[in-house]
Amino acid sequence: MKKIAFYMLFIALFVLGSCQQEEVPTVINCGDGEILVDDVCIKEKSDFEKTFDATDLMTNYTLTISIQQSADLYEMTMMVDGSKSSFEMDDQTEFFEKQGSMIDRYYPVGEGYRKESITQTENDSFHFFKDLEASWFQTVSGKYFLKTDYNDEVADFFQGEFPGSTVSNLELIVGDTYFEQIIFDVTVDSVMYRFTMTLSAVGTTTVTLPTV
Amino acid sequence: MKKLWSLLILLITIFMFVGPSVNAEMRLFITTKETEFVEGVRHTEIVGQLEYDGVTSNQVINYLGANVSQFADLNVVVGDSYKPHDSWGRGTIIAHADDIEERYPNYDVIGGVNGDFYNTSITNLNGQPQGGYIRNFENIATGVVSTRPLAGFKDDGTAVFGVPCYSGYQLLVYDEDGALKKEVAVERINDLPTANDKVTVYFDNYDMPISSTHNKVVVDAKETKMDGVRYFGSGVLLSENTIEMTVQDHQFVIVGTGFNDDDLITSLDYVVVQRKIGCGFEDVRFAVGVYDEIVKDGVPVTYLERGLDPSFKHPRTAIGQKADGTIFFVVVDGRNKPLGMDGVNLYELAQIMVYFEAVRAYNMDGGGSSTMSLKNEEGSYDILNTPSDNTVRSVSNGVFIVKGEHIPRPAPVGFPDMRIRLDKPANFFVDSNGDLRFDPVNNSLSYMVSINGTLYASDDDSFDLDLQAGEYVIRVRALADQINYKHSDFSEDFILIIHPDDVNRFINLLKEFLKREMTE
Repeated sequence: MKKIAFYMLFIALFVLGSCQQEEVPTVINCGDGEILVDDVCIKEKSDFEKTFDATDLMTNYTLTISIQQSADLYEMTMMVDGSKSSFEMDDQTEFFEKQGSMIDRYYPVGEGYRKESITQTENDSFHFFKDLEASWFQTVSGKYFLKTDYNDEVADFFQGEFPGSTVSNLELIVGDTYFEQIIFDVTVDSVMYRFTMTLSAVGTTTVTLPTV
Repeated sequence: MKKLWSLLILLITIFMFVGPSVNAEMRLFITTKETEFVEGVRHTEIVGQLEYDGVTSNQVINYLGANVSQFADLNVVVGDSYKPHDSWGRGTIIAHADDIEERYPNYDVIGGVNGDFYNTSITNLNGQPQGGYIRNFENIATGVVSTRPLAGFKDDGTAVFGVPCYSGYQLLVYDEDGALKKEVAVERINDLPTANDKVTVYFDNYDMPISSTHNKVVVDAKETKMDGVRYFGSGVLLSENTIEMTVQDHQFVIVGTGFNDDDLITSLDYVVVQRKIGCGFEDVRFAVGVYDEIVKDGVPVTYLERGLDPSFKHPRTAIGQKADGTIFFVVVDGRNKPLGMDGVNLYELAQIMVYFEAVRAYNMDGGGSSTMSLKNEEGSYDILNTPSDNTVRSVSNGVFIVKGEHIPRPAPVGFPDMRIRLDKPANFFVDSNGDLRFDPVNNSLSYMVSINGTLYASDDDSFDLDLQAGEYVIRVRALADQINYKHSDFSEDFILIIHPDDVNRFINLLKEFLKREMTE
C-alpha cells in the first residue's frame, strides 16, 4: 500500500513539475477609425481614399475624354486592356501593344491597318490622374475639389508640351470603387481648355488588335 | 536760281512739245505721253493733236500691248458674259475679264478692250456678235455675216487674221482628260438622218416629237447658242433611248442608227456640236470678230467701205500686230470735244496703228463701246479711256491680254481607246511628319492631289500637307504618259480632320500616357 501511495505521489510530483506559468496575452485596443494591421493600429481609409488605391491599380478600363475650347469640342476614347490599348478619335482608331521595352503601334491605312514598332517615350513626369492623392482634395458643397496648392502637381503632366500652362478647378467625382469623372481646366497662353474625363468599364474592357 | 528756272522751262518745253512725229500723211503733235508697264503689258497714253489730210483734231489715244509670241506666259484671251442658254447677253469689259478668270484659273487678266460689233435687238439675240467667236477651241459663234474676219490666237503665240470658212457641223467627243476621242460629221440640225451611217442633232428650239426608232443620245447641255441658222452646243451624256421623244429645255439630242452602241460617248465624256472651222483657224484657241482691215503689210489701207461711218470721227477701237509678234489694242476717245477728244475716222485710226508699228490692224466695235481696261494694284480694273456714254457700256465680248500659260491641249487618243488605265491610288494615311502617304501606282509618272477641290501636283507617293485646322476631302489620281497608259480615276475620298495645334499636342500627351498604362 505504501508502495502504491509512494508511486502515485511520484507521478503527481512529476506532472506538477512539468507545468510552467502561462503568459498573459497583451490586448491592443485601436482607437476609433483605426484598424490593426500587423499589430499596428493604422487609420482606417475612408471610402473616398480607397477609390484612389483602386484607381491606381486599374489595368483594364475605358477612359472617355472631351476637350472643349469655346464652342469647339474634341472627343476621344482610350481603352486599356492589360498589355493592349486603343485610342479612338474622329472614327479612327489606333491600337498599341506592349512588347517588352517596345510597343507595336497599329495605325489605319485605307480599309485596313499597318503595324510599326515604336519606342516608349521616357517621361517621369506626373503620372496623370493615377498619381492623385486623397489628401490633396477638399470638399465644397459635397463635391471634391483639388486644393489650389496642388494644381501645379497636376499641371506637371502638361509642362512637357505646354511649358507655363496651368491647371485649375479640378473636380473629382468618385463611385463606389473607382473614380468616375475628373473635370478640370488647362490654360495655355490665355486660352482655356476644359477637360472632362469619364472612367468606365473597369475590368470589363476588351481591346482586340486588328489583323495586319 | 536762274539756272534752275532755265532748266525747268527747258524741261516743260520738251515735255509739252515732243514732235511733231510724221507717219505717212499723219502728223501727231504730242502734248503728253505717259507709259507704264503692268506684268509685262505696256500701256501708253498720248494726249495731243493729230493732223491728217489737212485737218487737225485733238486726241486722247490709249495703247495696250504685249509681245505674246515671245513670252509664253503672256497670252491673248477672249471673254464674254453670255448666258448659257436661251439668249446671248452682254456685259462690261470688266465683267468679261471676271468671266475669264472664273473660267480659267490659269489666267490673270491684265487688261483689254471691247470686241466685236453685236446685235442690239431686244430679242433673245441681243448681244450676239456679228462675227465669229472662239472660246477655248469652241466655235461659240460663227458669224451672222459670213465675210466678217476674225482675229484668232494660237497656243504658240501666233495670231491668225482673216475670214474663216466653215464646212458643216461636227460632233466632237472628248474624254474626261479633254483628249479628243473622235470627231463625227453631223449631217444636219433638227432633222432625221438620211442614211444609216449619218448622224443628226436636235436642239431645244425644235419643239416637235422626234418620231423615230433611231438611237437617241440625250445630252445635258452646258451651253447652247443658236439663232435658227447657226448652232452650237456642249454638254455631257444624260440618257439614251430609242423611243419617240421631245427635246427638253437645255438639252440636245444626237440621233443616228446604232449611234453610241459602241459606247463612244460615256458619262465621263464631254461633247461639243459646232460648225467645223477652217482656212487657218483649225487650231485657234481664242478668236474674236473684227471688221475692216485697216493696216496691211504695214501700210494703212486707203479704201474702206465697211466699218461704222469710215469717214466720220468717232471713238474707235482697233487691234494690231507688230512685226515682232506684239499684239496691241488702241482706243481713241471721241464725241467729247470739250475734253479734247474729237475721235478719229477709220483712215486716221489706220495711221495711228501704223504709228504704233502695226503690220496688220483691224477695226473693232467703236463709238460708245470703245473701252480699255487695265488691272490696278488693288486687283480691280481701271478704265483707261473716257467712254463716250459716260459709263462703261455693256458689250458682246472683249479681248484681253492675260498673264498665265495655256494649259496644253491633250493629244487626240482615238476610239476605241486602247491605253491601259492606271489603278487608283489607295491606302491613304498621314505619317508622323504630317505628310499624306499612299501606295505608289505602277507605271505612274506623278500624281495629282485634290484637297477640297483644289489641285496640286506631287512627284511621288508623298505629299506635304500644310493645312490649317479643318476638315478636308482628299482625292488623288495617278498621272500617266497618256500614250501607253492613261491617268487613273480619282481615288475614293480620304477625309482628313486637322485639329488646332494645341489640341494635337494634348492628343500626343494622352497617347503617351496610354502607352505607359499598358502592363506586361
